[in-house]
Amino acid sequence: MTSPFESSVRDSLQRLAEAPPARSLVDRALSDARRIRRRRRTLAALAAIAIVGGGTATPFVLTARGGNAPVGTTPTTATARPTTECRTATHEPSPFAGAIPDTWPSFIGIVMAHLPPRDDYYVSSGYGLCEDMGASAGRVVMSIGEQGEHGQFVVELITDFQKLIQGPNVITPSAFNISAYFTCPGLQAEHVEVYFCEEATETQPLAFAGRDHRGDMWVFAYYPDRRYIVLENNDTILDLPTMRAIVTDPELAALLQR
Amino acid sequence: MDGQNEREFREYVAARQDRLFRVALLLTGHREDAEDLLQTALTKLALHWTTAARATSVDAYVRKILYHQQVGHWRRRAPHREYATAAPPDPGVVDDPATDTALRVTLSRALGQLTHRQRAVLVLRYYEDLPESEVARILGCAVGTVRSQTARTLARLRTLCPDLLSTMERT
Repeated sequence: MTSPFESSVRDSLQRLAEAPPARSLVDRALSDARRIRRRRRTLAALAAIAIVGGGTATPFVLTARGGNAPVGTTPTTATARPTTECRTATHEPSPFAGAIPDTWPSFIGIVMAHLPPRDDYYVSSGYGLCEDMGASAGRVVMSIGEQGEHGQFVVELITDFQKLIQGPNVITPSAFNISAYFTCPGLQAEHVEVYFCEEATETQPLAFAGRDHRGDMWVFAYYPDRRYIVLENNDTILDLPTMRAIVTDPELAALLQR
Repeated sequence: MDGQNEREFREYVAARQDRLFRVALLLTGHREDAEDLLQTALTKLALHWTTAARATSVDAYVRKILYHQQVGHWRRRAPHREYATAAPPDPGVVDDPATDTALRVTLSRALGQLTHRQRAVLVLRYYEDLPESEVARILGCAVGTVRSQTARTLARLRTLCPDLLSTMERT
């Protein structure tokens, strides 16, 4: 039962909240979110900078050049490669269910071949290889369960990681070479837990799985020609051999060959 | 965020921004702070849109971000800020401008003397009209805590704003 005083409070709050609408905040929210995503990705990639490299800490600075910075890995018509691969998985007609399988990027098939058999894998969002700062990147967010109730993981493919971290939003020293930092000693020093690290050979990529100080788990393969395949899985829904098999799959790597 | 998700996010914000802004206004007590708070919350929502859009209720998801942001980050800010404005605040359309303005000023001052958590409980219960169980879920506490917090907040408001009832009756 509501007392008269509570009713007064309720009515007063309604009146107090009457105000002209705020300016639209959506554009800035999107651009800030893109900048944060890019920063997180770059920080993760450059985590080894201060450790590896003969003890010489190499400073790097992240900048946002205005609110209209390039749109991360979001595919756009204007910048897309002239290939059918660069397409976005669509959700029509139901925006809150998984993407329509016919629109899934084709590389998802390679990923799914490694997954334990179940009938509730969904693609929450994803796109094929699209131009991004001189490289090409593809990404897919996969859910287990229609609402992701059994977990989610992300697979990202990048043709040239070096280009992606030296684009217009990220200033790194011109001589900086990501390959010099992606070594097992450096990665081991930078991660709280390392599950495996295998150095690259002529035929195999560097394969790494570890958890950093923020608690983020990274499983990735990095090739001498700077191809990069990463799987983020913070729900521990996939086991390490499965994740390793996905990121080191030769078919996925072949898709990234220019 | 891909094109599809961005479109969905834009549609959501276009439909809900005004309502969320009013909540932020009540939580912070000032337009600029409300815009800052909502901007931060929407950025977080954009970051997690893929997950949020799959949640049972996007509103519940964004509400949680908004209130946690307010109770967490904003409590570390100075409690009182002064603002220079070019024009007096828009009183809105009212039957009796003088009484309504007095009511706004009185309640606004009273809200400013509550803790951020008390303010959050008040807005959730009496502006958003949510049940205690939902308030508890959003604030991450027990239903009993919400109940006692609400009772204490109302008692404090009665002290700070004893003529609220009579003022409301006059408007």
